[in-house]
Amino acid sequence: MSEMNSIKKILREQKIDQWDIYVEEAEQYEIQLRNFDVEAERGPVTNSGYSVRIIKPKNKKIGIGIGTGNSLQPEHIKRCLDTASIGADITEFPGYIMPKPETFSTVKIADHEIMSDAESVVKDKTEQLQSLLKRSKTVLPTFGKIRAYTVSTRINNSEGVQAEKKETLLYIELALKAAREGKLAEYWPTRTVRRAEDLQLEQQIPKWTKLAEDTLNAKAPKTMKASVIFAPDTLGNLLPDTVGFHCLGSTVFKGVSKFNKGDQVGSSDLTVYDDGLYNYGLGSSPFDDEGTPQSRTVLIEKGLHKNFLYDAMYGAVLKANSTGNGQRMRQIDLKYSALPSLQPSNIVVKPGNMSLDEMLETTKEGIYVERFSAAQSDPLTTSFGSEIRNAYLIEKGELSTPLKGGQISGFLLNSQEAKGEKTIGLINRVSGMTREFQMARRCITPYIRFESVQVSGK
Amino acid sequence: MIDGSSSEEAKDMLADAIGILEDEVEYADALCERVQGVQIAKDKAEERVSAPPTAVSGIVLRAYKLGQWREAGTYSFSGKEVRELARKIAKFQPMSKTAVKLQELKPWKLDATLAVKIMPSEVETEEKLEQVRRLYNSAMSCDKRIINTTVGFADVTSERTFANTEGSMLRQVIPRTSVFLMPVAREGGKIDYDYLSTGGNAGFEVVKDLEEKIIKETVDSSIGLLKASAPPSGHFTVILDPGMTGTFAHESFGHGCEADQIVRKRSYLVPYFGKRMGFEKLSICDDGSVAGGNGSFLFDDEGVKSKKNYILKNGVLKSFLHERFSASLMNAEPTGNGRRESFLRKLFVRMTNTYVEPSDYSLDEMIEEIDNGVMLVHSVSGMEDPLAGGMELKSKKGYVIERGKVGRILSTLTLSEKVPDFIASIDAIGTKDQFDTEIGTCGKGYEDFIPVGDGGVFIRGRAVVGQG
Repeated sequence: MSEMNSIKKILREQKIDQWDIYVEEAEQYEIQLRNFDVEAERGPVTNSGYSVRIIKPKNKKIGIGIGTGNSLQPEHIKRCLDTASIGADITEFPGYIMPKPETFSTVKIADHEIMSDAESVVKDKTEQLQSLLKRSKTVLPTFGKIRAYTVSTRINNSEGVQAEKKETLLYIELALKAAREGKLAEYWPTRTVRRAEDLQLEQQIPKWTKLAEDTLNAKAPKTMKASVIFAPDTLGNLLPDTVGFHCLGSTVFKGVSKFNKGDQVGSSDLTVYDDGLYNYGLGSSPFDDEGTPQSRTVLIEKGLHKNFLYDAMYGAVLKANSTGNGQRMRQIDLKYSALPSLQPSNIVVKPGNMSLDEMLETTKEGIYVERFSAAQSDPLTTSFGSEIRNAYLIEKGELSTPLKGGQISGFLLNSQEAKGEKTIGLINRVSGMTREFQMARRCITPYIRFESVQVSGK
Repeated sequence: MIDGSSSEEAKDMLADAIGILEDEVEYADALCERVQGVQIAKDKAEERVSAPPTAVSGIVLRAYKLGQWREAGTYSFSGKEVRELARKIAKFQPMSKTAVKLQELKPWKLDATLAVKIMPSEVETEEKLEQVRRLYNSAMSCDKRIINTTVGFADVTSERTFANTEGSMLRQVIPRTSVFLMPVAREGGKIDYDYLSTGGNAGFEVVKDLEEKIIKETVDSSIGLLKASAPPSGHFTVILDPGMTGTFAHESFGHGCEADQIVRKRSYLVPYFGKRMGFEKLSICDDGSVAGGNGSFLFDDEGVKSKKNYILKNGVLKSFLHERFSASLMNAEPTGNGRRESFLRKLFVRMTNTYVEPSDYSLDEMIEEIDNGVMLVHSVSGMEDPLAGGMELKSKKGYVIERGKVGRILSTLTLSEKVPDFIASIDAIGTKDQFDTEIGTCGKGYEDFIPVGDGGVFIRGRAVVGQG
């Protein structure tokens, strides 16, 4: 707590009334592979820093400034506070209510194994990865990296909030190559988990190598409308950037949300939560980055829009309680340098009743997509389109020809066209969700089948 | 500047670390980065003033032995801590099973600044915010259909000091400034937008000199997109504007030319080396020494001087881009492309400013010769596929081309194709007067973001078009 006390001492000396302090200490270890060989071993790489936000009420507005620092020498803390104070003097925000002390829920976000010896975990996982990959005779790694983080965070504010947490992350990125008769194919997965055991390399490597092998026989799809099953990994960005985005109080305030409370916004079997307390979720934490307890909020229930999300700013402006969604959106070892903004925590889609096998069996003709090039949607318009990297045609209820190339596109949410016509968004064309679900970045979702999806090819 | 030591103290600290490492390993280097800057984002609700995400200061030490790197890094500018890190990695036992001798390079000295008109550090934050407010107010007052505008401003001045066991001691200061403007238009229930993004190795003049007519053009483009329809789907003759051409040169082609992908056996381009891929007027360069380029610098993050490198010349795949390790493995020259996001991330082969060189076709000629095609305008993003040569490019808007004329406006397009097929299909390259560049941020796959530039002229080829 010495850094907190050093900063608080100067805040008191400068008679600053409203403030919060965010202190972060992060350390990482990493191994990078070139084929089966170790190309680089990195660590410890440490980054520790703090930021101070100063809030100054103005005539009907609020000024908020932030200063950051890495050094606890008094002149450096003073410089940080000067920057924050100037920021508070010159900026204008519509409102802000500083979080008050509350009880935090328990949520699991740290792996004891990584916390106690991250370097050994990275080395063990690398050896396991090398060993598993050597079992394949046809698929080779071209590169890989495994990186572990341990991070501790403390937040104090002028209202008396005192919050503290320790968390871990483990990241893997791997490119698997299959080659035959001059043809090349790849499966290029990434995964971020909280616990070492959740990497599940024993289960994942056979699946990933098969995807690389199958893609050797891939063809580009035809241009058509089709039933398309999206694997969880493909939905990991699409749903938070669209459903999550349009549930933010900030989008209501700015007049760009496509949702109104009570409206039918999705298929009747679609239920979506923002769950900041999902054990080992990447967006999970007992408290958000402003010191407000994180929570579970129903966003869409049976297709009906239920609630919006708030942080301390938009809660104050829209006269709602913060749902604990004030997030500093930077890589984990740099969060201290960012201003909090209103963001979803974990977007959780309620699973369905059918198995993935049953979903395939009940799809006469369609496409199953395991991975796009970069599945991203425009948050504002919810338009998306992406090149197919690893997919299969579905014929008579079974996976058949592998697909690569061409595109799949559409709008995630209902959209207005130029001539007044409406395009029905994908989440209104859900025809099935599986029992199986996975965590993909900040999204926990089943496989979802959408109907009448635009496919573009030759 | 930032918390920590002066430039001279930084040089002494790096020299101390190198002194500890030089007798223990085959090669070692040390990089100290000290960054200052400000980021401002304004819209109808918020005025956010903070440190930019790239304002990351710290020191990274790198040792090399028997084909493997060993790195450690710290945010701390304490000489004692840096010496401890050096001692920690000095005795490392390589896990690598491939011993590769690193090529030796001649040591050199440098201490220089890439000058700009108005150094961002000499302008008060309040004045920067006032300029951001000017842009915001100007865009919002243009038309009632503009319901919100996001203005982003960032200046980042990076001071990188480098030392190695070969005796190099280098220091460079690089200011970069950027402005982003996104007016959001709504009419009835339809919302759409276009955006402006400009800057590079430049100073406060980027925002101060931004003219009202440019803001108005961006607003008009946002409003124009309210009338846009969804793009057609299928395989078409396409024209790429200079920004899209640059994204193609960088994302689709350039990433496959990064030599670390060659040594990983992860590039579809290996069989094409020295062979013709496209017609003779097609040349693609990567040039870290371009004046004002967003990806420009004096030396890369392993002390190699920046320079212009042709990757495709007159249609022939001429060379790959290297850092020291890939150059040693492939018996090639380092090309000044070893870059890292910050001390928190590993160094890789990275591009700088990548562009298609001009040739001899006017835009009118390209359009007149198309019976049924699509023009893609204003690049949004692209994604690489270095192993298999896939291509994904996104543009914010486009136009249908029918019977030699520009037709209806389109919003948000995706372009895909196999890169060799697309290159082989290119049959027209625009003239010098069309040449333009854009600024961007490039990831190596899904992370490791660095500032880059790209550009070129209008080009014409064939690819699959869909909604973006």
